[in-house]
Amino acid sequence: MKKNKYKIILILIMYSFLQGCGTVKDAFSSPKKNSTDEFLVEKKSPLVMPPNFDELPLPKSDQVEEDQKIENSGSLEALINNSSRSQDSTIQESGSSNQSIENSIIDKIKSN
Amino acid sequence: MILNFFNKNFYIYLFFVFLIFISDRFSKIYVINESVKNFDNFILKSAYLNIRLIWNDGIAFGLFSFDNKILYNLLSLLILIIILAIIYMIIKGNGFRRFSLTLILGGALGNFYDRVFYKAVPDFIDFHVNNFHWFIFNVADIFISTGVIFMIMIEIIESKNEKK
Repeated sequence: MKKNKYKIILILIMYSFLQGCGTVKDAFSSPKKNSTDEFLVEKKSPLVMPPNFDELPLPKSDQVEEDQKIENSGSLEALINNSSRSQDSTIQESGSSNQSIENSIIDKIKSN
Repeated sequence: MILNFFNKNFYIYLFFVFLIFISDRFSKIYVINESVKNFDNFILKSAYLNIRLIWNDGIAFGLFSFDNKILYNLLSLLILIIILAIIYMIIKGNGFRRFSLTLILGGALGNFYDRVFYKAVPDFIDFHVNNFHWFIFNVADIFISTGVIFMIMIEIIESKNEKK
């Protein structure tokens, strides 16, 4: 009787070595193993102001200064002249751009 | 006794071992190819049975899963010794005991082949009821388990006969 018990235990030990069944945990945890190592990712350095940042000119600072001068002078004529001058310049710019577009279209039609 | 075994039933038992080994190999190759083709380990999903490929580099139930190569080779050597012991028991044994040992040998050789060539055993049969999953196993494990159940039954019957 005892001999048979030992034999059964021996068979079960042998069984555990010969079997190749895996746990369910392996099936669900395997993709995690392939994930990247978080310690290999380098940290970004903090933002730093460039050297001589204060010496750089502000954008459109000349235009602002000119407007301020006119406003300070207080004369109505100067203000009207300034506005008409700026309108003329915008019309001229738009006109020239329209002409250039027209010319390019005409050139393309001719080439075809 | 040894000469007697080789004369009588040697080819029948050899055919049994070969049949188990081939059926196990065929199933493993099919599942591995399917998972490679689909870029997914999940081959089949159903209410009670999933076919999902996992690799077990340890022994039963995922135990003794080593990253160390020396320990893995030692484990493989131990399994080889057990296989040789089974072959010896088949030659020495008789009748139904020999048949159940043949089932164990066929399955053991199937798993040992993977252990040598892939360095891990592919498992893919996953029985489950809702969220309760049984251990994932393969065709070789089915034959080993059947053989072991038969062996335990033989031992229990023999012990009862001795009592009488």
